[in-house]
Amino acid sequence: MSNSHSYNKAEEIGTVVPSKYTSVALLGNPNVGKTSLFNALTGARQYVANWPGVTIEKRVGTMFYGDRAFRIIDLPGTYTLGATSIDEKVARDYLIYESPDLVVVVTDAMNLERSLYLLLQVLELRGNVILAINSIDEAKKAGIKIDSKELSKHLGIPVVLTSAFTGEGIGNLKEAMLKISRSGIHVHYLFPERIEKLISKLSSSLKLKKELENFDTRWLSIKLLERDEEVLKLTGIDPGADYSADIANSRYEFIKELLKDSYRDSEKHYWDLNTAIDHVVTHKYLGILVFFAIMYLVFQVTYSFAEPFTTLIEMGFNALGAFVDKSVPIPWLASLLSDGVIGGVGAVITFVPSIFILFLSLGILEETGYLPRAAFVIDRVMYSMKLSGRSFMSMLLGFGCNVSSIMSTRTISEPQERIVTILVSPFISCSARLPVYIMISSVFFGKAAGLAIFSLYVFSVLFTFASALLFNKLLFKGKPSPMIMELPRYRKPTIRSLMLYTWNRGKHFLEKAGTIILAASIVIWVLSYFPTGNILTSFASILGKSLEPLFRPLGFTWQMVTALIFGGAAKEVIVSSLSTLYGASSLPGNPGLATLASQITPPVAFGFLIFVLLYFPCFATIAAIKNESGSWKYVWITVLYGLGIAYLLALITRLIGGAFL
Amino acid sequence: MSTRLVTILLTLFATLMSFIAINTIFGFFLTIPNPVFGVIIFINALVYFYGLLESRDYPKRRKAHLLIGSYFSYLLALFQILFVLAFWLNGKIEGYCNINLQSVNFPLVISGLIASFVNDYVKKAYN
Repeated sequence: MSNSHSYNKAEEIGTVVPSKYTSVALLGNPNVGKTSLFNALTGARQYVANWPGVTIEKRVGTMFYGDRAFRIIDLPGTYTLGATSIDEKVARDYLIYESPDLVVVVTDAMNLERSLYLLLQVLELRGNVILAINSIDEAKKAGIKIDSKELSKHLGIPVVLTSAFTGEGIGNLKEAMLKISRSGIHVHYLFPERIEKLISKLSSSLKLKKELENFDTRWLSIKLLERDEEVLKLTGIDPGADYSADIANSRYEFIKELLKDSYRDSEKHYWDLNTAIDHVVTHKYLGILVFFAIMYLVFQVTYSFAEPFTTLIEMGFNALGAFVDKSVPIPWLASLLSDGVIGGVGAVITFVPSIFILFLSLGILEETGYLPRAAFVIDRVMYSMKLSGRSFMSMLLGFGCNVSSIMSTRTISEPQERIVTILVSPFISCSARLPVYIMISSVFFGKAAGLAIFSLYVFSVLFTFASALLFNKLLFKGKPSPMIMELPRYRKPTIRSLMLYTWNRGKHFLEKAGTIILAASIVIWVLSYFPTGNILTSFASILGKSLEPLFRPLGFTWQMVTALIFGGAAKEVIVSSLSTLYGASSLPGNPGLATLASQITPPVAFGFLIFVLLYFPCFATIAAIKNESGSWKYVWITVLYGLGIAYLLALITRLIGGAFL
Repeated sequence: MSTRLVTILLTLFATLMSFIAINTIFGFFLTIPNPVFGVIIFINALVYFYGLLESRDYPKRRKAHLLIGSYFSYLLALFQILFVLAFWLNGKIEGYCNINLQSVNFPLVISGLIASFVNDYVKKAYN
């Protein structure tokens, strides 16, 4: 088949009208490389990770090939078409209600037997299906042989061997899509006679129902026999007995027959490098220790390796501030620019290297495929808190951003477990808190700053677990859904994918610096300057001092209280606020950041960091909690619980720390 | 790679990393005291120790511990080198020298270097 076409893309964009788009859904098990294939087909740069559950919403891209324009839809991964979690429901509903013109079922060459189960379910539902067997490069390396022609002959649909990583077979896949979009194809495979009779009987009754005329009655009948709750409700028919085990067995029998002549596995596949690594890193006890060691190294790397870059940026901003101070003749404008804008935004930008190094480290763990192993070893611990390793995966995402952590809970099928994960996700220390930790730790803990930061991360994880246990006891009495998660193969991450990962995550930090943090810095400067031009009698001072008595037991200064209030917009704003309120050189009355060390003790400083970790989440996280939980009740629970516990723990830290130091 | 050799290497590295862990915790020789990092090094030693606990009937399992253990030792050495480098660079930028012989932790760096050769050797068995 040809894969080189010299069509002028620009010309086609001009001539193709939206109605001529052929819609193509990419469907498959989690982590088989759908998004990689989507990127290869559309030229997009969607984030791809080596773990299941990355795509939680459908993504759309465009591809032009031959005389056609294709709209490619990347659906979340699903093992079956019997939707149990939200992401699986997104995939199933799309196939049923949006009815795309083509469906490409993406399977994993290394796990073909299990992947084909979904294909059979799709074939029960509809026609115009293509089978793409992905990761063929890895299968070849493992000595696996797949006869695509034989498979295609038995299934009656096009079968293409692809590798989104090397680009192998992508042209063939495009060609197959073009062919099917022109001709169309519909096949059915048959169940044993006993099941077929039941299907035919149910189909006859379903055909009489006018409201179901848009549905495939054969598929509805199969789902009824499997006692699919949604279909039972939709049709109002109860077939009585549950035939789901019989139907599943029939499908596996069919797959077994299918692969007999077309699939050859290799002996060396059974104890390879993957198995060897897994033997150690998923060990019951050793696995947890190894995970702990890796996380320690990640946070040490984040703090220590970024230090020279942080110092350089800091020096650059200091020089810029001094230059602006000298060059601008109007004193208030000079102060606004040097202390408000450059000082405020610069204080946050200084920590960009730390944030990027953190994401790079997390990216390496994700891309290599280690993170699902971490979830696997922690699953046993999680189960005692009525959560599963899947919740832990969501929580791990929270180290980047709590919003993405909350969004990823869509992969959790048990509603109660999902709500608990949403409620506790804000307590995972996100990257926005890191600049605050670094700023305070470097002032108070010197060489032990890295250790202080790591202990905050450990504390955040332990506190999140404890809160999950508490919420489960108080709010719910449910059981966690058992974690059935495929452990992906280890892969050597490519520089490109790591850069893409780091940039995609880190750029939000830069965007925030140019928007929320810039705006907040200006507001803080205005509040610090007006009405008198003296910081001690400014609006910020009035605000901070009015609330300071509440925080006196914790030992916080009024500047710290004011910074905490502004931190509601985004946690990084705490850094810019402290920088302006303590370090604004041209504002009379400012004490200077170094004096913070003489105003409060290290236990108070550590209590402040614990308060920053636990008190109410930023506005974006609050919005995510509301959207995903669908109720303000849960928002209030998180906010009030967080505030209360943050106060209590900061107080305990001060008291205990004070007793020892 | 014979089972006997795997066992010898596991014993050697388990002992070596345990000593380095104790040395790092207390700062006895060519290192400054760093208790937490010492514990991390001890986890590395445990990877080798657990390998010795595997039955002799399953040499592949023992080999897996040697593979991961040596890789871990190599990573720790690499981390230490980069850590010292970052520390030195920061001092250079700020105009002072904050590096001395003690801060390098030579025993860890050298053992990591040796472990990298062992790792290469074990990995070849899988290729």
